[in-house]
Amino acid sequence: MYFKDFNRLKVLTPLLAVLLAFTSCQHKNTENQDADNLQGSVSISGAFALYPMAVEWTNEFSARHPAVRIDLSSGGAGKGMTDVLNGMVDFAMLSREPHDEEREKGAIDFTVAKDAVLPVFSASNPLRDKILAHGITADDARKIWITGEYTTWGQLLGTNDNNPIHVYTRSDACGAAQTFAAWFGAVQEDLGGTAVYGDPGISKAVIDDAFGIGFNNMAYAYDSETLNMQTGLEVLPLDINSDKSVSDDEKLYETRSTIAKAIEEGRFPAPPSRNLYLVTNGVPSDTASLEFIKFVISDGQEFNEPNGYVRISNASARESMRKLNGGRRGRGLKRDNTQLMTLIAGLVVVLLFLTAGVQFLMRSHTKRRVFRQRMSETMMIILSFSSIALLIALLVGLWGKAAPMFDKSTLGELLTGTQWKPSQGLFGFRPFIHGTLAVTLLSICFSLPLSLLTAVFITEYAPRFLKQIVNPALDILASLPSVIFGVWGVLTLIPKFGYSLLTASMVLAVMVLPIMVSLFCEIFATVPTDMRDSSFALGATRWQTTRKVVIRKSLPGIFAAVVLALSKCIGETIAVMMVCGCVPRLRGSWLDPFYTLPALIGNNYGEMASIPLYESAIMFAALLLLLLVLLFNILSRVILYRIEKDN
Amino acid sequence: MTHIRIRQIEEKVMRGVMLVATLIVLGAVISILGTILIRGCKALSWDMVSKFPGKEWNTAPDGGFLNAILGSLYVVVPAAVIGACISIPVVFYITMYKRRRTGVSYIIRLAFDVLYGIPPIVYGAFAFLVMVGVGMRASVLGGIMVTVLLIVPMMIRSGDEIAKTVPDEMVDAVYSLGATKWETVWVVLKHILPGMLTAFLLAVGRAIGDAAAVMFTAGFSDQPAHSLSDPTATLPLAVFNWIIMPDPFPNRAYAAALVLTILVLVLSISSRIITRRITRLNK
Repeated sequence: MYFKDFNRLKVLTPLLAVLLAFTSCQHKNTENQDADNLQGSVSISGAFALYPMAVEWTNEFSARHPAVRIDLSSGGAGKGMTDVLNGMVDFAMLSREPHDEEREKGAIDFTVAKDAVLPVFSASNPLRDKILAHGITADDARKIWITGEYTTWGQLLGTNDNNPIHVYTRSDACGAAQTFAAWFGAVQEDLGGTAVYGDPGISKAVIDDAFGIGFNNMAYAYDSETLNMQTGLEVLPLDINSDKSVSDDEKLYETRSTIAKAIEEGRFPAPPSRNLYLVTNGVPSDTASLEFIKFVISDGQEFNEPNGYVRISNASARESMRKLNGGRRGRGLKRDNTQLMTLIAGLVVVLLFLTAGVQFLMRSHTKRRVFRQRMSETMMIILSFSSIALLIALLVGLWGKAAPMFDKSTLGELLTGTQWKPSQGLFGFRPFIHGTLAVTLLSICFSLPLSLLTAVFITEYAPRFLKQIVNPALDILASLPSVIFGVWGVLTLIPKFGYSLLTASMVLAVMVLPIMVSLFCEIFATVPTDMRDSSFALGATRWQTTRKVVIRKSLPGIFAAVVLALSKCIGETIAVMMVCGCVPRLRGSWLDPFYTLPALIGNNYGEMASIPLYESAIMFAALLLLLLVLLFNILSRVILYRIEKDN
Repeated sequence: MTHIRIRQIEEKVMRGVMLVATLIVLGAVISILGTILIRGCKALSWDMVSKFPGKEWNTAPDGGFLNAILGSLYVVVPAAVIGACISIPVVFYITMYKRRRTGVSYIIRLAFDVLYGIPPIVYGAFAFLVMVGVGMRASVLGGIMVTVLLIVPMMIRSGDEIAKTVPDEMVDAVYSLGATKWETVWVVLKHILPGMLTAFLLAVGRAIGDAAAVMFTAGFSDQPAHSLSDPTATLPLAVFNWIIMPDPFPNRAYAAALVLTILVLVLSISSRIITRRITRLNK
């Protein structure tokens, strides 16, 4: 026994050494480096609009300082402002005016480029030439996106054309939508239309939809390589002087360079042209980040024009330098405790080994055995009860963050409110709860009959060879990740049904099918064969036996399985986000876009820090989701427990 | 006579309906796999899975998404190992230390069952709160943390099922030889290890495909991660991000989806092979 333990220790010691070496070798010292061999890391996240430009800057910057690691992220994981205010990244790319609340929290904004948000439509639109000649005024845009007065292209052009306008907008909180809405005196949440995720999402949707209209950042309306308009996309010219036609001095859109020039010379209105910012949390205190922002403001500007962005003026460059020199130093901007956490984890492991090592000090064999027994039991108890601790932490943590919501409105108001306008402090969750429940129920309506029939077929009827095909197929289906179902939905269902409740519930239905079928099969298998035989002996057909004996006997089990599938549907995020269209609404047909609670959480991380209470609202959504799932889980658990007891 | 006729017709109709339902289910499977395979095969090239993103990554086919593949592995493999280290003791505790059905093991089981049902996005939001609280950045470590939360309830659930197959007589025999519970653990461990391996592979397969949880915690980056504190791309998130971006990104999304599918299928099939081996051995 003694030697065995010694051997075990011998195996574990190198492992421990490796772990410690791993944690200690990741120092990233950024202080006291001269610019020539500048080291450290710079992380940037945020807006789609600035992303292509930031790529150029980072490429050039890392060519000059190869030792600096630059992490650049945009889109789903690039949360920009939230990240920078929380100290998760060094720079946020921002494509709208910073809010005062954000400046109060310590955000410092540096203007680094300019661009514009442009209305776009599909090049395959049959009225293309007429639209190009007519242009669009701010008032027209208001009637399309806000009031919905214009529903056909004829109304826009002043003809009697009856082709419908399919309006697209952004689902994620973003600068493009805010700037665009500001053009006709509105805010993003007022914009109507099918909401699509991300800037590229809109251009893609509009290219595919001949009657679609949307808006894009310059960077995505034009091809970034050739600077010509994206194939399949047309920019809708702004009718600046509202004379219902596009005159020569309003034809600014041929390439990205021409529009950039127009913006620089002030021939294009602002908004929809705008400043683009890099935002930091206080002036960067580490050399790498400081050098990076200096580079962007000075030498980096020469890359703006070749890439179709507008240079910043000398005045704003001087302004930025002044901010850099005079601004409040970032207090521990690199508040990166990741390494500290790794160290703590390492320490815990070392402590564990030390306690385990105590046994070797004990002379008596029996004492050692008892010690080991006690140790292991304590460890197991701690681990087991940590589950309950985690549950409580989840509830308390989310509740703590969500609590500020209740200062302003009651629980009832939050749950039944129908208006979702964060900037006005209106947080009505009803459309989201409604959408979540609707998609869940509809998907169960699809999958329950299908899975029940399939399960009966497999267990009672199917010849063996069919079972050998169906079972592995279901296993495969069960193992596929939800994002794959999302891809399937985007590629095969969206072209037929659009971003809609129907699409999402079909995707979800297919997703829960394998779970339900395998559960049903298990439940049917528990029905004793004797029962079936006696039913047959009484002259019942197979279907009668199934219906009156097997299904009736397994009814509670079926119910529990359905509840399980329900709770899975309620929490599904990625697949639903990809196909739901993200429009909070209460009434709508099967073919209308909608919104769910998980999608709300997934989409709105970017703007959480900018509006008071927004973060609380998102956390409240998470809490709501958690409680819903808890409810369903406990329900199914209770039923299953009853069944077990009966058996 | 007619009554019997009606019954027989009913029987035939129902048989037909069931066949149709089964075919619809099979059709869905074929449609999904077919879509992923066809789009993916067209888009996939060796460069994509063997190279990191190049300089011209954003505008032209330059380099590949090896960083996302590695990122997924960096996050999931350590998380699964840590998950196993946490869940195996818990399984022992609820099945052996509290062997006869007791309140304690019932409560713990219930707690883990509830944790199992919690949507990944809620874990993601919670982990984000914690990370902001302690001052961590989006990083591989953050991804590992949240994936552990995701994996442990899964492994405990399957481990619990496996531990039920350990014969009571065997445990009693070990006790009767004077072994402590801790010493008994090693005997039982041998018995359930292959089963736990299956559970391990299945949990890895589940975790590697989950995007919602790592969305807020692991971040996204075109650079490969070099240490635990670097943000990293992960495969499912890459698919989610790229599918709506302009060319050449959608093709990468299809290719990444295919790679992800293959990874997950290999894991699930190998776990099934192991299960089959075990059941054959036990016979």
